[in-house]
Amino acid sequence: MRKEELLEKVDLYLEGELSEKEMTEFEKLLNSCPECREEVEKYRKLLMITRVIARKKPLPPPDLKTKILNQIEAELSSNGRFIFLKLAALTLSLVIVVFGITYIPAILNQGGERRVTTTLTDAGSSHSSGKRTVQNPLTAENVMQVSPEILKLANDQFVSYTSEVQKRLNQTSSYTYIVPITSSESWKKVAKFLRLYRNGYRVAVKPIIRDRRSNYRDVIATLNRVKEENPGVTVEDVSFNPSYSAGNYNAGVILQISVQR
Amino acid sequence: MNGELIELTINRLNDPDFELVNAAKRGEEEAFTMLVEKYSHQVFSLSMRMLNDYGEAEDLTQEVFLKVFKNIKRFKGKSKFSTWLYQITLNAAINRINYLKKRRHYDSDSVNQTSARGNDENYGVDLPDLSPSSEDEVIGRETYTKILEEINSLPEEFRVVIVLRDLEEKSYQEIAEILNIPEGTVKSRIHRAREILKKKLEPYLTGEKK
Repeated sequence: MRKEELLEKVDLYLEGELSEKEMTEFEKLLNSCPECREEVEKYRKLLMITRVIARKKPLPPPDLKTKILNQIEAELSSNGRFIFLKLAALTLSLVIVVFGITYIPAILNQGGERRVTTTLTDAGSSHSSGKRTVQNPLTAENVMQVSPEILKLANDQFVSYTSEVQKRLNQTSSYTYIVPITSSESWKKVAKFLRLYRNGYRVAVKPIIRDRRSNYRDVIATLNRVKEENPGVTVEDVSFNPSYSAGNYNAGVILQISVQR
Repeated sequence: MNGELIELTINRLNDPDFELVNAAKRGEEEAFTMLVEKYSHQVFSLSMRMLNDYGEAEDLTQEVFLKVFKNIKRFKGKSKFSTWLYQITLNAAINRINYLKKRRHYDSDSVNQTSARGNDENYGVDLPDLSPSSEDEVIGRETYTKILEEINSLPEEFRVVIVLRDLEEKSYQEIAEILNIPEGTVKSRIHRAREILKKKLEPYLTGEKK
């Protein structure tokens, strides 16, 4: 091995990357070449210095993670997805209003019997007389003028949800209330609803959809408060079960509140 | 089809973040938050090594994660997630450096001044901050500053490999994957870069200066 060849391999030598045979050859030459030894020592010192620098990891600002997540949220807001989500949430809120206006007084007026049978069907279904049937109100005519895309999204979400509700309602006499949590007002609505039904009914609160914007821990904390304030109310924690995620689009946290006699 | 399945299985085995990335792709907020938690320090560190400016490194880290968030669905898993993340960070850093150069906010003087200031402010610790060792004792503040300056003034292709290998301590294979070049090229670039540094830092390496 010549001096030039040796110096070509100095990195591998210092980093222990040479084969045993190459290492022996390298050291043999090194021992016979003071100039080579001098050069190798400079490389060794260089690597030693960079190793010290490497160990001194630059410290990021303590709030960097929060800033990153906030920026992502801001981006979601600015590119319209946030507005999109808001609109979807608003649409579903209107569903609640329609349901609330139509059925809460009816439930309250049931008197001693307090038996409610509600069937939810997909958009376009008709009414039946004996059994109260609710037409899915998410149509352009009776909800609001929104883009077809948003309407379809909200409708799909609603329809897929109603099929589950339908199944439940076929089995038992109950009422299910859907609440999109979009602000503190939503929580007030939930609290009011639970005050009405906590006695004499079995009430279960279950988050059915969450989105990436929601601080889900806050939601769970609030739900736990709901539970404390309303003994007997079941509060389900969906943890982070992906099946509850609505994918790329969703409308904040949506609670399903089931009331059973 | 079988080939795809095999590739998917290999990726699953090779990438410790496979499940987390898939969850993030499905839109799970918590999964993405965990990726940020796991890698924000590393992205910041690489950004800081490349830009040598605390504020710029912070901005760049945010920019990188925003890019990752926007593009995570396009990530096919052909490399490890961390490799992809490093690629994005490096590209963003190089673009940023070029942009700043064009804006004349990033001439060699400002780099040097920043790096000199960076030693005690940006890195958050003074030398020697680690457990006492013979290595620390022989490295003075001037050497420390000088070597950062010289690394910063290396041509881009050499600077990148030195930052990845000597400061971020990546393996040759990882560097080859990040830069998408053969491992042999990585080795020769590192050798060439160290050769340049050795020449420029001669007095510090022979003990004339500390």
